[in-house]
Amino acid sequence: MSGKRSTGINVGGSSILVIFVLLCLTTFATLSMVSANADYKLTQKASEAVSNYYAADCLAEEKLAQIDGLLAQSYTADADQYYASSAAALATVEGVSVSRAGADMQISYTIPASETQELSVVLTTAHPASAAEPRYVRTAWNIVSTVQHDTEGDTLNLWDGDEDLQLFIP
Amino acid sequence: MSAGRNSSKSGLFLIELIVAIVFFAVASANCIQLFVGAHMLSKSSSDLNMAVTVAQNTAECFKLTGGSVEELSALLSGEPGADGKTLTVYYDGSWQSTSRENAKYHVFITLGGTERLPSAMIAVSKQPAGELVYEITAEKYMP
Repeated sequence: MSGKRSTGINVGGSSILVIFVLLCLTTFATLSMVSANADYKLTQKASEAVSNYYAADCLAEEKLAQIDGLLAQSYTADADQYYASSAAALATVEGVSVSRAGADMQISYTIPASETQELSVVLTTAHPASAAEPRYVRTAWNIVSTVQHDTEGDTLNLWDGDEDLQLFIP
Repeated sequence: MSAGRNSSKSGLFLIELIVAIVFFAVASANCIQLFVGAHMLSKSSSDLNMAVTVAQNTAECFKLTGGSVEELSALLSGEPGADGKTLTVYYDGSWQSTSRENAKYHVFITLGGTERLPSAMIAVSKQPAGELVYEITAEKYMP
């Protein structure tokens, strides 16, 4: 009796191969799409953040122009009472707060940039010697977060600098 | 009888192979579509990213020059418009400054506002269709 001859690939082998290949192809294609989509969404968020910053920056520059105008008017009207008249004039501008910092005066205001951020501006103004001199210096012009982060709990147990705890005894 | 059985098995195998190939062709076409979509999305993302960077750079250059077309043109290597209120800067595919002929992207700057408060509208677009990629407005108070 002669032995059985090999019939090569059995029926069903090619189907299994095709299914395996398609599984791999589908997995990689899905991963590519998901990754590209996530990257695009991140880029969109970044572009929105930049747009928000410049929109707030424009408003801040306009308010700065308004404030400088009032400072110039106060100096021209009464240079001796410059700080007092400036503070009185700036009190009429919405969102502007004035405080004395030693010999200087600090003017601060904020412009909302997004739901969680605002542009904080702080100007320091010294008594100018003449009307042509600069009336302010930009001390701060940056984005700050308006969201209060709850730091109680869920923190790592970090060393707080307590010298009583000796980790190495010589 | 053995030859008949072999012939039947070969026929079955061939039919299965044909069905598998057809199924593979249909499914792989869809997968390739997904790959192409991912590639296009990645290209869009890269374009937007670079456009945001270039627009920011341009805005800061505008703030530095205080709205002067001549100074801004010298800083950015741009082409001033005939009205003296616009400026166009051309970029190639690698976002390097280039001439109009080799440009893949361009930044169109429209200057406005007042002498004390100049403004600039910065629009980054693709060549040659002019499809807008990104746009911002910048202002600078000049005391």
